[in-house]
Amino acid sequence: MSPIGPKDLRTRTKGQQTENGQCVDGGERPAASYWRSLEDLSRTPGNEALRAMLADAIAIPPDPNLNRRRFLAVMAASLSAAGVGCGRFEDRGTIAGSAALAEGDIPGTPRYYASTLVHYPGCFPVIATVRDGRVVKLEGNSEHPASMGALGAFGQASTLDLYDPDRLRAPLLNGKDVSWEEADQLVRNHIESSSRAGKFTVLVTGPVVSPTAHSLLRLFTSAYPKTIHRILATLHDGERSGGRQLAFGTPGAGTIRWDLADVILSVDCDFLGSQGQPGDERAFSARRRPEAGAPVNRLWAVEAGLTLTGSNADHRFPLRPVLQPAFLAWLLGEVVLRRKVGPLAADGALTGLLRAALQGIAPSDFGMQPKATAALIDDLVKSQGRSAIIAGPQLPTSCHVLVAALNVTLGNEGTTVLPVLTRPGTDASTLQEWAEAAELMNRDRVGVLIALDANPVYSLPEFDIAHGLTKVPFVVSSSLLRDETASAAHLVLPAAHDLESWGDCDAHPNLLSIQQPAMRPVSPVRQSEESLLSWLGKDERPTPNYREYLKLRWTNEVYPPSGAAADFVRFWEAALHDGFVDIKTEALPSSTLSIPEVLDAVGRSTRKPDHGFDLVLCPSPRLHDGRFANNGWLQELPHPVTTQAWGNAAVVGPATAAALDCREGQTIRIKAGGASLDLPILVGPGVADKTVLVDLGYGRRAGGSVGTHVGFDAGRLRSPKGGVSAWLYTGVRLVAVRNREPIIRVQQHDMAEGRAFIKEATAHGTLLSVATTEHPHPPESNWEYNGHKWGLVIDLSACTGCGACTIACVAENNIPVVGPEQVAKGREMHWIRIDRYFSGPVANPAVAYQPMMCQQCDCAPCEKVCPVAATVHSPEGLDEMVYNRCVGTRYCANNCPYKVRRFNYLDYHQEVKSPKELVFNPEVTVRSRGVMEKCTFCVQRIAAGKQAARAAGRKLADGDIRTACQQACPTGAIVFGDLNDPESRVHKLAGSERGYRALEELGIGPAVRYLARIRNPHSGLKI
Amino acid sequence: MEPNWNRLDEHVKFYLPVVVAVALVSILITGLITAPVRRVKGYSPVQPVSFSHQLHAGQMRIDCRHCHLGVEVSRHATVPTTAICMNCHKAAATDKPGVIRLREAAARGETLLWKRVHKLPDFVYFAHLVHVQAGIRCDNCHGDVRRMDVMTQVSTLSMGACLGCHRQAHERVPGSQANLTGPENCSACHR
Amino acid sequence: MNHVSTRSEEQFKHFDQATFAQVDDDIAAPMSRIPGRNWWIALACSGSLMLLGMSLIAYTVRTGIGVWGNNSPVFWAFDIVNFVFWIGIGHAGTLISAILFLFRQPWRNAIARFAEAMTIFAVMTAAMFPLIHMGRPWLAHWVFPYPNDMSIWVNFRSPLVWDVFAISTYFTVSLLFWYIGLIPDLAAMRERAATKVHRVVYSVLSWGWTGLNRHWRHYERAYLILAGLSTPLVVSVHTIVSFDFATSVIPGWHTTILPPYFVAGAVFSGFAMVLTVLILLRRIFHLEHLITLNHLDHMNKVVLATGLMVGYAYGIEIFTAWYSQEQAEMAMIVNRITGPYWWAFLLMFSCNVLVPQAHWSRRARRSIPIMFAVSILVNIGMWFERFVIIVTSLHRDYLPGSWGMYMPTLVDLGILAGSFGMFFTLVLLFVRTLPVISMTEVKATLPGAQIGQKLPVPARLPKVEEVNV
Repeated sequence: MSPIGPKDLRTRTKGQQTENGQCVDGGERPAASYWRSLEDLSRTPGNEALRAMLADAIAIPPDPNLNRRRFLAVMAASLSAAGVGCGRFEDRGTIAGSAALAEGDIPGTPRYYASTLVHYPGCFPVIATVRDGRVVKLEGNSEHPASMGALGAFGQASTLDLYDPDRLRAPLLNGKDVSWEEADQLVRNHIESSSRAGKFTVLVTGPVVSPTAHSLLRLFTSAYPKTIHRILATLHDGERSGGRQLAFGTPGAGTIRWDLADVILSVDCDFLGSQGQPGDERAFSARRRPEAGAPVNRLWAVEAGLTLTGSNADHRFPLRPVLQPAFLAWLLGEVVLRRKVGPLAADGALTGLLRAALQGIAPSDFGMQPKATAALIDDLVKSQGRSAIIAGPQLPTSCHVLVAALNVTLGNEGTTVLPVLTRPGTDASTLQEWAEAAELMNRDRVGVLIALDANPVYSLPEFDIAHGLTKVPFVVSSSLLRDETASAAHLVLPAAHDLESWGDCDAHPNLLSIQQPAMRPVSPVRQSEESLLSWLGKDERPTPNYREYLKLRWTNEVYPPSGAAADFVRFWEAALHDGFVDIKTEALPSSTLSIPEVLDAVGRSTRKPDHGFDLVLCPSPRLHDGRFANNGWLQELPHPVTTQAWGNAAVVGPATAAALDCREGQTIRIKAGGASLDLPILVGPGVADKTVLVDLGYGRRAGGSVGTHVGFDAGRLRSPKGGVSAWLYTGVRLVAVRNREPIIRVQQHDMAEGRAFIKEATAHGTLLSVATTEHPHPPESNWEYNGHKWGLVIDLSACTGCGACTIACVAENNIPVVGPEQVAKGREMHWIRIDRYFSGPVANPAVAYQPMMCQQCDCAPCEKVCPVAATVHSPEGLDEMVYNRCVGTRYCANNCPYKVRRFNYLDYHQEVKSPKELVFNPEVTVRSRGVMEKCTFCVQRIAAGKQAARAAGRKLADGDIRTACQQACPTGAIVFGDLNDPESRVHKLAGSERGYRALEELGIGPAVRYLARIRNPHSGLKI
Repeated sequence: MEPNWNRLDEHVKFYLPVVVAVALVSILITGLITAPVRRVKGYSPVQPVSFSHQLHAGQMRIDCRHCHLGVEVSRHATVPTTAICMNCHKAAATDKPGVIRLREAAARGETLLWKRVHKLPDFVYFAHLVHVQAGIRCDNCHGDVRRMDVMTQVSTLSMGACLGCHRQAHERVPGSQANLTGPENCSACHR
Repeated sequence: MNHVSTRSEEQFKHFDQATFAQVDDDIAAPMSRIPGRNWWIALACSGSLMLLGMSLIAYTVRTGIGVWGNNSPVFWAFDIVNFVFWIGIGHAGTLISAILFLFRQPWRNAIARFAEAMTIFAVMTAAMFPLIHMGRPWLAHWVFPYPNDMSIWVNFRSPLVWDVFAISTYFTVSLLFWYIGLIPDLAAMRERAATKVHRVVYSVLSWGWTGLNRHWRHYERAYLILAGLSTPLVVSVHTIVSFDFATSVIPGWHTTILPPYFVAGAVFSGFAMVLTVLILLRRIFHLEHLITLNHLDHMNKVVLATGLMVGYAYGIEIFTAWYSQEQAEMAMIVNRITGPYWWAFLLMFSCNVLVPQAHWSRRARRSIPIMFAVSILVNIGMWFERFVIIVTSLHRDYLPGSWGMYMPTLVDLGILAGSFGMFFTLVLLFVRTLPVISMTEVKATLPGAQIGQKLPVPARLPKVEEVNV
């Protein structure tokens, strides 16, 4: 178990695994000792704090509404108040060492394992921080090209899924416990008997990103020939790859070389938000920094709703979805016919037909100024081969054909837009295929249905799978929670979380990432692949368990082509240590464009919009397709643009709202085809007219104790045939209905009021701040910092406003989830608030984001006013917050001009159900009620960094200490370090001419520098 | 006017202040005597197994770090695992009742539940490694363990005690380098 | 000199017939007879309000401040509004009893005792709020500087610590002042005590006062010294309370006008409250001949004067905001007047500035219904003044991203009601157990008790014999 080599402060340990998939460094402990090992966990203060707190927890639920019974209870309780907390003073309980510890495993010291979250959108490569046998924090794998250490909100929040108290603990047959052996036998019998009866076995999985899992599936389907494998994905790239398939005749998707693209046109593709791949944001924002040398890119966005991409664009045009195909066709026409650009221009037949098809379409049809469109086309034509056009996955195939045509015309195909092979098993089954499957079920032709980490009942409302399942004699579900499908299943199997599972993943080109358990399972659960393997007949089973199967495949298929010099054991260990190996994914030849398809696409794109509204079903930036509904962290994360928390809404533009005569919160009925849904509206500036957008993933009927009945299930609006696409419907009717439904928005005021705390500059260097700073006073600091002086730099030009930092902060600092009622009262506890401001016309506003956390002022107003000195200045420039000294006068929070302090109005950790307490960071006190808290620049990490440096007997180096937000930020917008060290990155950045400090004029000397946001408008246009 | 009332007034004039004064003083004294800080010193609970530091650390001169593994590398000094005890007690003193208890526990793969002696509040992030590396000896806080047959707390371990050292480490820690200082800012211990 | 005597002439002309004994009887009457039905009803109402408040406080302490409407950014609301309001109420008492005593204003004698009592009760009520507004009130002792085994001190830079000193001093001094003043009267009560119990109690309370010359001399000295001590407190206490806001950086709080503004406001609301209660009191206990229209008239003049000062403060605040040309400052004022809490500002302004203008007319000043209405309205207005200062400043400060709204809960309202319950319960008990008017001082002002009306001091000598007779 000796570490391969110290890397910064973490010496990662090769996680070798025992047969039963348990970490060796706990392996010698008896299996039953896991729960007892909480005893030695209890020596970690985080947990003791928790226990102490739970012990003191008040018997009355934190419910402000005072009803009679509780009132009496209080009266009674207050009589006995004197008795609270008595007990023998000296007794300090017991303490126990574990029976045995693996070498190098010292309680209180972290270990690190590389793994991959294959079930999370984007397949994050991660480093799991393990304390005393439990995962407490995830970071991105800093050596993995797709991550570079960054980890988005979903990945950060996955530790909460891991310790979800609602997780299934044991196999259940019709609600009664069964052993795994019985369960497996049962499944085998049913499959065999049903195939003997000539019935089908339907196997439902998510997209299979693991080549090993895919080979196992092939094994399974060959062993049981009457198996139908269906791949379920609410959100997928089918239309996109379908488009390329048509345009080029080769399968595959296009990836964009953001580093090469100077001009980007996004047609309703939120690649900076919920429709991007990990790495997109970083690569894109790398081109938004003038200091970087490369010219600042220019982003044009044409979109229906206001997305993160649109709000980060240099020019944005709202356009209702049904017109977007026409816009692409028209754009192609302009480029090919007017500007005579590209190979197509030469093709006489084509140009003729194109001209005919585009008769009478003008920019005005899209509500754009001719000046603007001219500028756009100039930009594209000028930077041929250095531009890129991308369209949203929800747009129909024809759009993607046109995008392909445009990229070919502009010479981007093969330079900035590269084709990559999509592996079989990853693209989702079509609506057609699902219709067939549903049909089979309803005609009693299905004997067994097995859902592995998939939830068809919720995800496919249009096919009424719930009803179909009643016709299936034996339904098996393997899932984390008792979800909609599990509740309808006969046999329910507890699936393992990604951090408890083995696997691999080749979602990232030229890389094969490995997945290994970072801890032993919280309860006796089993990963779905393990189940699949054990459902094979004894003789068909190549290996006793899935881990061996994985190693086997790697021995045969990964190791030989890798050409590694070391023997397989070393190769394998290195892979486990690094988390990935390099492989060759064969490159696709860029093939020729099929002209008829383009013409056909043009024809299909240029039809006039019919009456009614357009409906867009969007991926939720917080719940994705609904799989995170039971994750309180994500539920409470404000929507980056609407700032709505705990729910979704029908988002419409101001004009539409006016036309409907509805205010925010008014319930409306959306009628799409046969389906209809009532939900409140949210008036979103910048949303296109005649368009309504609803986030998917809400309104779960069996989403766990947190996620059930939060928001409204927009999936119900889908129809089996789909509309323009599965996510896009036109001719939708909106009717206002009586009642109102409050919308919980974290930010109540959207305008910056022309104040100077956000500054912006054009790429040409002119500083156009929202307003000018008022006569700044010099900071009246009487501190001098001889040692370190910690500081933070936030590059507003790189920040996209995604909110990954907020969740990372929550995970690192034990920040509670307070629930919808408290958020509605304005009591959310997030230490990092991402302020979002609109300016300009409400129909299409400019958007600015500003992450706002404690600014660690030199002359801090909060420190002056605390009567008990619970918040004081450290010799290294931190405003320290001492929770155990705080008496809760809240004066500090009043006097904070940034209002970044958070108060525990109630005991927000009261309802922590086991094993959720394991998610707490033992290095940070768990705050109880009545205590103020705030960002401390992750002071526990600073201490750890110093201790590590001290132990290694070296000086603290720049980058040794990274705050949780800095580590998580996908674009590296946040930099932490020592302002006193002239060589540190933070020192250099702080000197940038873009640098400024918010509310500097108050003379309080904040330690956080913001770098003015760069906008890069076309010279012909103003922003 | 009955005279006795006037006498009452005379009495009142004298006794009332006295009574009040006595009451205040006695409250003050009781408070001081029963102050927790005064009671934690000398706490030495009976342990499940009568382990003697005097024997192991004193007579046998076993280094503290031999059993308390974490003390140099971790925040926690760590209570030794049964495995560590068994390293010697597979053979040594196998007839002693305590050792028999130990071996039974080890055989069952269990551990001994010791009564906790030294305990800091949950919100104190005391790190053994930092102090040991700074050359502060165990007995500076834990007393002369080599002479303790039953483990006993000798220092109050109150915040005052910590700061007492941190404010003038050199004076308080015998044989420490002259430049030895401890941080006094809150987040040094509270996070 | 002249006008003093002339005033005191007309002042006391209507107890020509009143004898010392009669004064004693009238003042002691409420204590000797069994309380009437009205008193019991009043006590029942205020008592139950107090009980409600107390139970809601218990609920708050056990559940958390979250049961109130406070949130982020409005971290202080009703809790501190009530605190400042009640502290303000106290000021009239000290002003009347101490300052007017030093200025030898004989008209104060009839109302001083009662006003002082109100001070004590108001400060008690007020002092409750800083305690319960804490997130962890069981650690409240940490705000006092005392040697401790954590070997750390309080933060002496914090205005809240100054508050602790200011209020505890204020309470102690007022209590002593009031009590010293009571001693001769308590002795007198002892003399008239009907039952043994009464007798013992009053004996103990009067610390064995026998009315000796020496006693009188010490008494006068002590009374004078304490009067001197309390005088600066009238100014200091509310000044320091205003520092809670004035020393902060929040627009609407960060203003130098606050100290004088607060003191004026305190006296303003204090007098209003004294008036409210006195008007009822003299009616219920038939003390019209002791607490005369002249007294009320004088007090109304003070109300008018302080009302004008407060009005000036409002004006100057708006002016300085404009004059500073500071974005946040100007936005704050605009938001106060036209923002979501415009109604609170309107209420405050009309009640505190417009309503008292009625008192320019002598008829209004001497008409019980009018002055009663005015005093009530002023109390309401002054409560809303604190609401406006605290809530409208906090809910929109520097970064619009952090702006929010505040909405009180039932618990907030219940505790507010409870504070009134507590105050009036104490008042009701007081009027039944202790002389609401200083017998000594009133008797001192009786014709025949005087060698000239200059000082009430020598006037006491004849009364001593009277006691020993």
